[in-house]
Amino acid sequence: MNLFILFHSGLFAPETSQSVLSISSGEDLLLLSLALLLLVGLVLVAAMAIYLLFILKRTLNPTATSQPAEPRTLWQRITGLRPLSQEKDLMMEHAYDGIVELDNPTPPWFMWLFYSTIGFAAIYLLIFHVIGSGDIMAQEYTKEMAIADQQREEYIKKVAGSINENTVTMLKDAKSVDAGKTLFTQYCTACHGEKGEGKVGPNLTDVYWLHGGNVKAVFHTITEGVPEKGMISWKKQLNPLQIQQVTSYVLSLQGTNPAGAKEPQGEKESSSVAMAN
Amino acid sequence: MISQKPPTIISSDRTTLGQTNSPGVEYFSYDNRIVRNFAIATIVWGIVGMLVGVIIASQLFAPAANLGTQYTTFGRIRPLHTNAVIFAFVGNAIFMGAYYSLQRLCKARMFSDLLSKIHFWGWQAIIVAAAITLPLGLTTSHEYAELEWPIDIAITLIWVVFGINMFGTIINRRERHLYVAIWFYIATFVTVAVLHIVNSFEMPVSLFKSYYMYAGVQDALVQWWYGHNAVAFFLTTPFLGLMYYYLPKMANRPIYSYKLSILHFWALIFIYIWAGPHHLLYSSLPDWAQSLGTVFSIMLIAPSWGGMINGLLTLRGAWDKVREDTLLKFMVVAITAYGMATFEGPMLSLKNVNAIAHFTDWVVAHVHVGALGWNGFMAFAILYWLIPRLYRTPLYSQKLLNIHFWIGTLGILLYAIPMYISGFTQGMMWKEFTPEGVLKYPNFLETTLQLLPMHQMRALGGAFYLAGAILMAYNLFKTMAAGSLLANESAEAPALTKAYTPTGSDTYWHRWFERKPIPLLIGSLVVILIGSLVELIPTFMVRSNVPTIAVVQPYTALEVQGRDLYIREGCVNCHSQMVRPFRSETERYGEYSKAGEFVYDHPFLWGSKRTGPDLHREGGKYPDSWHYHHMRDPTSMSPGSIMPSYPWLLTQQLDISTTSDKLRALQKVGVPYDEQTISYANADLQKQAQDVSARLAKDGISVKPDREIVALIAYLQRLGTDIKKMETASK
Repeated sequence: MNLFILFHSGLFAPETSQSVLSISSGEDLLLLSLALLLLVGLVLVAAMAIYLLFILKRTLNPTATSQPAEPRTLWQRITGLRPLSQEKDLMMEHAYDGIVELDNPTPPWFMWLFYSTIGFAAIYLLIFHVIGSGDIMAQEYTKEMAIADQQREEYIKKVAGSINENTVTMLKDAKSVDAGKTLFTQYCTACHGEKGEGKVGPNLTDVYWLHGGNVKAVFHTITEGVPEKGMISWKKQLNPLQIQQVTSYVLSLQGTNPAGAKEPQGEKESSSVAMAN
Repeated sequence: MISQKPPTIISSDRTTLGQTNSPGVEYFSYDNRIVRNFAIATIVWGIVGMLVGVIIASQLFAPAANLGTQYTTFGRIRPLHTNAVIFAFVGNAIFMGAYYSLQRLCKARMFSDLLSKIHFWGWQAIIVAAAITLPLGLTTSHEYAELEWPIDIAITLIWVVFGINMFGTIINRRERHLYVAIWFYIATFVTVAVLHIVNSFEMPVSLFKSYYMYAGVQDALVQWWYGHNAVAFFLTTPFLGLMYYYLPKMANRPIYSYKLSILHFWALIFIYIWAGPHHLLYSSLPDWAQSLGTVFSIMLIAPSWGGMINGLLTLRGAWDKVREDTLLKFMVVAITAYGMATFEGPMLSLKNVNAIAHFTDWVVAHVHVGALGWNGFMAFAILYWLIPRLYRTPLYSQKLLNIHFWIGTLGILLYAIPMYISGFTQGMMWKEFTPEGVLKYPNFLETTLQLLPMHQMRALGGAFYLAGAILMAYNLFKTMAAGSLLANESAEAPALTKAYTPTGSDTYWHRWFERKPIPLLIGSLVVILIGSLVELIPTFMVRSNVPTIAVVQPYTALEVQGRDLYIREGCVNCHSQMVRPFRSETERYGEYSKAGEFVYDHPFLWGSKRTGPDLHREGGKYPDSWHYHHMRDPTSMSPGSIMPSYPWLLTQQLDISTTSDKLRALQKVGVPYDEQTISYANADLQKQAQDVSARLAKDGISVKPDREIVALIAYLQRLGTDIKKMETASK
């Protein structure tokens, strides 16, 4: 290995640097001879190992070489199946309550499956916990959120960039109010009732308001929520255009007097609504 | 009963093969009565378990199927279903199959008839105790280990009785080597003992209430180490053992490969034990533990398939028989289902697949392919094979047997396919965003309602499967009535000589293990302990694995009581408390769950399935009155909801006689309550309950502060809020 690195760095080093093979000090000479010694040693050990393996194979299985090569198809070699006619030779001498066992080898495809899953495991751990930082989940989440934030920003810029608390206006076209109604039915009815009559949340159809009843105030309440009273902030689930639509729908409910309406809460603010209208 | 004809030697000792009347032949008899008893218990509990399954499946589209009582709601009887099927049906089937095969493979009667009887009646008593306590809401909430501590102790004792009886039989054997089926029985015995004991460390409060020793992340890891390996060592290894005996018997074919059985036995028990954390991917479990769960699940494919291919290849050359013999058909479906489930399991452990499948019906489908296919069908096949032999009469009706096979197979398909579709649909719906960058289905209920037709199909499939089992019961009881039980079956075998020198293939290394049951037991124990210790010890010992959060405080007395109600009603069966670090989840629920938030959760309540939304960030989301109405009538707050209503919570008085004891027990397992808090527990509780009651009164709801609903609301309003204090503090 050392030697390999030495040669490697020599071969690819810039031309101006000295060749590693040019020995300039006693230390270099020592390193080089050690490397050569190591290489010779490695070759010797490898040769010995292969020789020993052959010897072992011959002593453990002396008849193996004398048997004729078995004619097997590629498919048979992959599956490791032998013809059923050979089954008698494979039967082991034991029987358990009449159950005989065959001495078939484990199928090669099965062993390869096993080895490859072990390889997969090693690589997986290496990638995520040795090469990577190990902080997998948190990293993944941060990335996912960054992409999402960017997408959302782009989208809002495209469709609703100019709408905010200060610029919001009441929409009156039927299409927008309908869109607002759809959103209201989807998100708001659980607390405010299907007709805005109020349930757990306050009645939205009368002229009394807890957090202001003009278009700007309602827009603000929906956007930011009133967490201490159970009204959640909707800005992450709805974009400003959608909030404007819901606001418009809510304000359009004014004076509808639905059945079962909740008692008034907050302050009377009909004038501001009228002004917004 | 003892036969008078000259015995034929059936020992495995080669020298005596073929000789007759050699000295030392012994006459004895096999105990068939105990096998019959376990068989009847298997049939009866199987039908009970499946019936409860059909009932709870129906409740998922028709909540009214809970009959309006608290004892039969989904949350309480879902554990009854799982316990009945796993421990009563499959458990009795294991004992039935093992007691029959063990005696014959050891050429010996069971060690002690008395122990056999204690084992049988003890096990049935435990099942009855479970069937009584679970509907009463007495549960520890650990999935598949819900039983309270006195029953846990009884399980341990009975399991030891089983172990002594099994090992006594093995020691008394007249067969030199242990057949592969017995290796699997031994590994099952030792591993289930370890799993059950480690998972059951509880601090008792009273006879029927206890708190787990472990908290939060550690508790979750222990639970899923147990839960996953209950699947491995209660539903898989014993059945592999049964397969190795009954399949060659039914097919009259030799086992395909002895070497394969050695390889897959050791690899299976070693690798399986590591894979538990794959139930906790993307949770607060440390990343390294999650990754170990993933990679060991992947490496598990080959070892578990080893059993499948050894089984299927045993049928090689007998496929023409499969066409005619319904029992073999049952076996083939069982083994195939096993192969499918053990391929799917590793795939579900890959994080990106798990991200879609976890918490959905996909996992339900997965386990039912295993339970209905592998365990159910093999148990049926063994029953059909055994009963006519025990009663020395042919099966009452071949036609009914055939119908059972087809109706059962159809039942599995009708169950599994809709559940796969349902799981995939739900997983995808949870994650879908609109171009606006908001959730497409922000209202969780929408995703649930989408699945109702699939749930109806599933219940139909379950009903088919149950109908098949009832046909089987009829067929087998008719068979029993037609024959007479051969209670003691005479047998003969030469005694085993003490001195033995292995020759020939008996010198193979594994043959040594097969001659030595105790080293085989110890070997199995060592192999399963390695993975367990590597995962459990660092998670318990290394502090950085559970980063603490200073603002997270213990629950108040009222919240502890509320949490116990949450556990009693089995809310965890439908609601998770684990917001995963996904954009879709943090948008829907709020900040993702951190390990440090669960340090006082004895036990953890992360859940494994979401039929309703996650509740970990529920605290403060809605006013108290919302929860009140939601419990009174869920559809009033969430139109179309399939959650049952809990009117009894509004009227039942909270039992506060044990409040101090509960806090004391929690203090003993590491929750830092001071003495003052413990002694004034009920005073604090009543004060907080007054506050909740007053807030409800403001919204026009009059409920006395001593009602159960008040405690439950207090707990729900606390959930996941501690971490918000941190935000306020840092601001």
